[in-house]
Amino acid sequence: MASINTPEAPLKTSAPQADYNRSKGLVVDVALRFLLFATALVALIVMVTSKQTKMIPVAPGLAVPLDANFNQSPAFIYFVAALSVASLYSIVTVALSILALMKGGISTKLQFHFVMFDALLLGIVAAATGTAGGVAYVGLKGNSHTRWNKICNTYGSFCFHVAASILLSLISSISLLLLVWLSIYVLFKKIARR
Amino acid sequence: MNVKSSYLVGLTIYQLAIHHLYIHTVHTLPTTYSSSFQLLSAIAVTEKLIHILMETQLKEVEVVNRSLNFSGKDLAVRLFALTLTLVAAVLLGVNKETKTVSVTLVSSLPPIDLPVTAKWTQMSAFVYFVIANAIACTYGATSLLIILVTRGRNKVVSLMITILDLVMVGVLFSAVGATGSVGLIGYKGNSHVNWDKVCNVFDKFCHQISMALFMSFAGGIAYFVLIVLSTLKLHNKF
Repeated sequence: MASINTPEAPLKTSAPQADYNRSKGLVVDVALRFLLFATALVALIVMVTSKQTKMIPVAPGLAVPLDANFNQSPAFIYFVAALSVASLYSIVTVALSILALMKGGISTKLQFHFVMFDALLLGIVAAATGTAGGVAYVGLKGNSHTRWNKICNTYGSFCFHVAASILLSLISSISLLLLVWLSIYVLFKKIARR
Repeated sequence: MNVKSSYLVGLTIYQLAIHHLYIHTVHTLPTTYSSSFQLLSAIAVTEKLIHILMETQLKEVEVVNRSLNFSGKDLAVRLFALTLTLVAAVLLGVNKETKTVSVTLVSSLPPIDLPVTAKWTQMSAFVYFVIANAIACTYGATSLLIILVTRGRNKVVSLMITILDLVMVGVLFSAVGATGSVGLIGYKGNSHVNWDKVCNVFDKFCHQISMALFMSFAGGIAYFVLIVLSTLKLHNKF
């Protein structure tokens, strides 16, 4: 741990070809971060607007309107919170990446920070996908052992929204995975070149 | 913190504990001087032995650090993650509880006692949890073996291992999320969709699930720590 504070050596000695490769990696980085932002935001909006009201017969000749909403389940509330964090984070990092692209190259220190926080966010978003997926699967299929009835035959549009939202959050967690892979690969190449 | 300082801290704690024990013994047994002297000499011999053992271990660790290209921290965390995911998979994989529940079929008749079994295969989220933890455990053992065989010298292999560690973080956290949400419904129930809680009946079953969840969460954090460690190792090369 003693050598963590050593001053960074300048990295500007490489050839123009290497610079081109690095900025190509940075372009892919910005594109993936933008994909992350788009999928997280759309998943958030789709989940928040998933409210559905149906007339449910409670007795012969009597039906009451009942809502299905995301805030009735703690799993979906966590999902919304995690994807909000992901959207905010991706706005900040897209801005940082575009700034680095305009400057012509990303600093190694920033890239290390990106690796750490991307991996952390990957954990959060993957947990959110799993959480919502676990509850939604019970809602889709039901469970006869615990007598939890399926609800997707009643609330079709609600379930469609939830399914689309889970698919989008799956895409955003995969893009986070690719982002970390890309950053680690670029760092590895930088070391191999030195 | 390097090995030497941790060794010194350990020795200090040991000496303090022994001193305390010795005073305690002398105060409680004031008449049996001979036994307390015997105890004192035994303590001195043990201390000397531990000292010699620690010194040799220190030398060994230094030699190993010079010849190999992986850190002991990385191996220890990997072993920790492997053990935690193994325990989580086994805890949920052997989880089964049978309870007698009285069911009223017809209100005029007395309730009938029926044996009801809760098993992990009945819920798809639990099946996913066990499979994910088994995969993480197998991967942990394989990567440990690969690191030991290649001695951390092959750069491409360590890059691949870092990449796969990240996949394990995703898989473990999603499994924890899925099982946690289903377990929360089992614990609290959900009145909006008429899903009743089941943990008031199957308390041991639910307790075991929460233990497995905790283990698997810690395993996921351990894989995350592995990524941080390898990133720091990359950082130190700049």
